[in-house]
Formats: sequence, structure tokens, C-alpha cells
Amino acid sequence: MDDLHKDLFEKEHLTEEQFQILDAVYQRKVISLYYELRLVLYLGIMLFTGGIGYIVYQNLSDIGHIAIMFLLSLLIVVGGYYIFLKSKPYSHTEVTVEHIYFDYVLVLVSLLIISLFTYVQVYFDWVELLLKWTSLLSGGLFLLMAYRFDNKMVLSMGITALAAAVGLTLSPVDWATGSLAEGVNVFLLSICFGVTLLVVGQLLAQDNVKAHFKFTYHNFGLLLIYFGALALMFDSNFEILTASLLVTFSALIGWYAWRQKEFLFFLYSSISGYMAFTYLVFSADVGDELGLFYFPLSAIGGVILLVKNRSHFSDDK
Amino acid sequence: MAALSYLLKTEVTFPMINKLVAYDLLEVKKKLSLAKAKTWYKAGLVEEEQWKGIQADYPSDLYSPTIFMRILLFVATFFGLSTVLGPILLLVADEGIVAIRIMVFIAGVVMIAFTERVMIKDKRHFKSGITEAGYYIGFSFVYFGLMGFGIDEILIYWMMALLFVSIGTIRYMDLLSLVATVVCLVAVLFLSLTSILAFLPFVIMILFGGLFIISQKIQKKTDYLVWEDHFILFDTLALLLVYLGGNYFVVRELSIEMMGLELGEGQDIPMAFLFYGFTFLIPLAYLIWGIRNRSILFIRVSLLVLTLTVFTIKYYYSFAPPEVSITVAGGILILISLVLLKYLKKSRKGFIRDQIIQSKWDNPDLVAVVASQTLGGHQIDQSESSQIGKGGEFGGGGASGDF
Repeated sequence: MDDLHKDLFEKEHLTEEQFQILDAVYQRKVISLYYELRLVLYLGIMLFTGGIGYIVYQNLSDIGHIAIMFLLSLLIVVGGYYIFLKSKPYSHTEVTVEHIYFDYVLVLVSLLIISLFTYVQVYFDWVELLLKWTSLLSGGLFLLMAYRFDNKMVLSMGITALAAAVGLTLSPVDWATGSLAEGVNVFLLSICFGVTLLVVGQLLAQDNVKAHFKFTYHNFGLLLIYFGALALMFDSNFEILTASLLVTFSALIGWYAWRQKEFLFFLYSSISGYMAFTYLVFSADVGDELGLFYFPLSAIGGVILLVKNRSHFSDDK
Repeated sequence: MAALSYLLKTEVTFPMINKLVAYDLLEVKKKLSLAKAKTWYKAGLVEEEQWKGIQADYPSDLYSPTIFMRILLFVATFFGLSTVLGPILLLVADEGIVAIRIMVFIAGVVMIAFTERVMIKDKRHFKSGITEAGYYIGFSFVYFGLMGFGIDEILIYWMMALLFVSIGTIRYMDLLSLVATVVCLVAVLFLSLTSILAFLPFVIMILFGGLFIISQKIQKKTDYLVWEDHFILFDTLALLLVYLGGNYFVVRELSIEMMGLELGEGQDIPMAFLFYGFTFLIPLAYLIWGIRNRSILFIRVSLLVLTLTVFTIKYYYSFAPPEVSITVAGGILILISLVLLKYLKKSRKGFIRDQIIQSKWDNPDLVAVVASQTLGGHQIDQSESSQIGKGGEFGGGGASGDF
């Protein structure tokens, strides 16, 4: 129990009314279950849609298909009705629906539509025909929903699905389970798709079409570019060229991110740039003894450089 | 008992603890006050003008960077300091292990001294990433220099580690060290109570239950604002350990693993009914206690341990194919949360569904990334083994990342 709000009230930084609200919170007269309830809802959505996904594939012969398809359709209709009831008209700027679970219902309905689509596809044995298109259609649907109802979660899911459609996995979860496809072509594809995301995000933001989506595009774009380029550097026959390009690219992006105070992107760029630079240094055959001193000196040197500009990234602002 | 109550006296212990802290506590308090007021400002509870006034009134000279720069500084410093081992080994490799240990020890002492004297005292860094890396590596070096690899008794290593991480917890107010302290404590208990291992569950439950109660007493007397995160983290861990100590899965599997217990068909661990009872009742007790006493901590921990109880049951009993259980469980969770969200539209005994103060971890951009990784629609469809829409592998799920 701390008395900060009391101190601030006594020093007349807070009004009586503000003090009362904060006091009620800190005296535990009011308890907000906002995060807890939304977390439970999120877990429920994750398990429910994940479970349906398994059922579609594994137990197709055991359970009444028509019943399940009907149930899914019913849920979609109910959820869709709720969404259209609460939603606001489309606008290029940020639209927030002040309803506590609107965004999660939107996610749920989007996932259910895809489950139903997959179910129908498997049931009527159109898998061969439609397999290639599933991710593309999912991605398209997610993007449509993301822009219409202004939702970053669905946007991220859409970008991930589109990446899957061109044959990339954007998911560390999938990398960890070893389903990462390999090969130079995949790395190049990853870089191209990443650049596309970067450019699309930048152009849309410049035209003020959902400018607040820019982070999501840039984040996925940069991750794809950096992972693709690093993999290419370690795994191809033109590693010096790749490393040089990567050093240049990450220096440019790092400089831009630094100026824009996008420090997550600065972090990505610094680490990838450092790895590429180190690769170049060691391909130049510096000798073992000098190599041992390279790591501590370069890393600590980098830290000293950063700390010289520490007011640029202070957390006070 | 007398010693304990003596130690709990405010005027005795707290000046002592305060002296142990490397940071200037007055400045820390101002900094944390400002951080707290900032969450009110972000939540719209405090006007811009007022926020400016508060900022002017609580000027702290401590420096910390924004979170991603803190990570970058930590990674770079950690990497830079740990690779100092390379040149050290190069210099004294031929002189044998003792020489290496002495050199590493000296390097560690230098790093700690530099972190304290220069970074913390002169440059006023407060948890800047550089400081953490400095004392993690510094203490690891000192630890290795002192201990080497030659001691047969593993317990000694754990006890020494316990000492080091508890210093880190208080001296540098470090939360990761706090977690490490609890882990080391459990390990020391395991290794020192080998003769009465069967009673270990009860020892753990009683010990951490007791520590939880002591923690409640202490936090009423300390400067709660300064140590708030420590108390929340410690209380959470203590409640979790009280549950885990009595959890059927933990006790059963550890009995088989550690004591070589062999269970045939139809056999069960000794006092199984007791552990079944704990597994079911502790989460419920936490939940009820949390609701009655309006303790968000108990409610959160109860949700966590309820999940663990469900996993424990699922591990030994199967009522339906997993995909059906998952779907049904998900459906139930969705229903419960929607019903509660509707029910708490109005305040019920003080509980409401609306957000009052935004969590400092709340970031819609990052939640979106987590969602895209845990929800469906991201598989590459290229082989017959691919499971379309298989969805999250239950990896993260920390949607709104509380705590």
C-alpha cells in the first residue's frame, strides 16, 4: 500500500475527484477484472478454434459433419450480427469501438469463418483443388476484416497467412517445431516479401490509410528481411555480397529508426548489422588472437557510443 | 521467534536493508512515483497540465532507457563482458586452472566495482541494461573464481549461488535475481533434506506459506512504492510453490524420479488422497479468498493454478479425445468470460469489467504479434501432413500480458 496519490493530493496535484477514484482503487474498493477476463476470453478463443481445427482433420468420420457445419455457421451468424450491430463505419483514420470484447469477437468470427471454409473443403473433398488457395483466402479475409473493422490482431494474422500462402513461415513457433522450409530460394523469397511489406506499410501510412498499421507491416517486414538475409549469409555461395548488402541496409534502417525513435527496429538493425559486420571481419582473416579481442572491444565500444547519446532514448518522455 | 519479531521491527531492519541497496533510494522513490503517475496520465485519469506539474515536482536524476534500448544495451554489454574470457584465457592458458580462476575473479571484481562506482554512482544509471549485465557477469566471474569446478558436493554450489542471488535481489533491486533466489532456495531444500524427502512437499508448502505471511507483514512496514514489484513477484511465487508442493503430478513424478518409487498397475503414491485434495482445493481456496478479500493477486494466481490442475487431471485421466476436450474447454472459457463480462457491466461488490489504470505492459502492437503467433491461419500448406487451421501450439497466449 503506497500513499503516492495521497501525497500528490496534499501537494494539490490532484483534484478531490481524482483522489477519490485513485483512493478507491488503492483501497481495493474497486477491482478491475479487465485484463483477467480478456485473457480468459483470449485463451478460450485460442483453444476453441484450435480444437475445431484438429477435429476437422482428425475425426472427420466420427462426428456429425452437418451438425458441426451448422453449429459453426450459427456461431458466425450470431457473432457477425453482433459485429455489425456494434461496429462503426469505415474510415481511413483509427476507429475504436468502445466495447470491451468487440476486438476478440472479431478475431473469433474471422477464425470461425476459416474453420468452416476448411471444413467444407475437406468434407466435399476439394482439398486437392483448393489446398494452395486456403492460406491466400484466409489472408485475404483477415486483411478485409482488419481494414473494415480496424483491428491490428486480425491484420497480423492476415500478414502471417499471406506469408504462408507464398510459402514462408513467419512464426517462431513453427521454426521451433522444425517446420521451417529451407533453401536459398526461400531466403530470397523471404527478403522480397519483407521488402514488399515494408514498402506497402510506408506507402499506406504516407497516404494516411490506417497509418497506425504501419508498425505491424514494418515489424513483420524487417523480421523477414533480417532472418532471410542472415540465413542467406550463412547458407549461400555469395555470402560476402549478402553480408555487405546487409551491413548497408541495416545501417540505413538503423539510422532511420534511430531518428524516428522506433527503437525496436533499431534493436533488430543493430543486431543483424553487427552479425553481418562480424562475418565480414572474420572473412577478412584477421587472425585468431586479434579475433579474440574483437568481440569484447566491438561490443563495449558500441555500448559506449550509444551511452554518449543516452538522452535520446531516455524513458522519461 | 523472538529473533524474528526483532528483525521485523521497522527501525531495526529497514535502515539496514536500505544501506544494502546500491541505488540512492530517495531518487528511486521519485523515479518510481513518476512512473506510477505516468500510468494514471496514460489512463486519462490525470490531465496534461497536472502531469507536467508532477514531473516538475518529482525530478529524479536517475537514468533509465526505454525498454528496447535497455534490451539492446543489456545484450551488447552482456556479450562484450562475457567474451572478455577469450583474451583472459589467451593470456594465462598455460599457467593452469588456478591462474585462470584468479584472473577471472579479478575481472569479475573489476566489473562489479565499475558497475557500482561508475555506472550507478557517477552516471546515475538505474536498471539501464548495462548495470544488469555488469553485475550478472561480474558476479558470475567472481562465483567461478571462488568455486571452480572441483567441489564434489553440489549443495555447496547451490548455497553459494543462493547467497549471490539474494545479494543481487536486494542490493540491485533485481527481479530476475529474486526468481533465482526462490529457485536456489528450493534446490537447497531438495539437496539438504535427502533423508526426509517424503516430507518435502509439506516442508515446501509450510515454508512458502510462512514466507508469504511474513512478506505480507513486511510490506505493510516498508516503503511499498519502492519494493512493490518485488513483493508482487515474491507473493506470486510463494503462492505458486505452496500449490506446486501439494500438486499430485509434481509429487508423483518427483517421487518416481528422485526416490526411485516404483508404481505398479493400480498402485498409487503414499497419501495420494491428500495430494488429490490439495490439487483441487488450493486453486478454489485461492479463488474464494481472492474474491472475498478483493485480492487481484490471489485471483490471478488461482487462474494460473486452476489451469495447472486441469493439466494434471488430463495427464492421468482422459474423458474424450484431446481435440474434443480442447474445443469444449475453449467453448467453456469463452462462455464464462462473456457471462462475467456481461455480469460485471455494473460494479458487483467492487468488481468491474472496465479498465481503470492501464497496465504498463499493455501494448496493442505487441498483443497483435502474439495473437498472430498463437491463433490459427499461419501454416504453410505444402504436404498432406499439414494441418490447416491447426492454430496456436499453445505457445504463448499471454494476450494482455498482465503481472
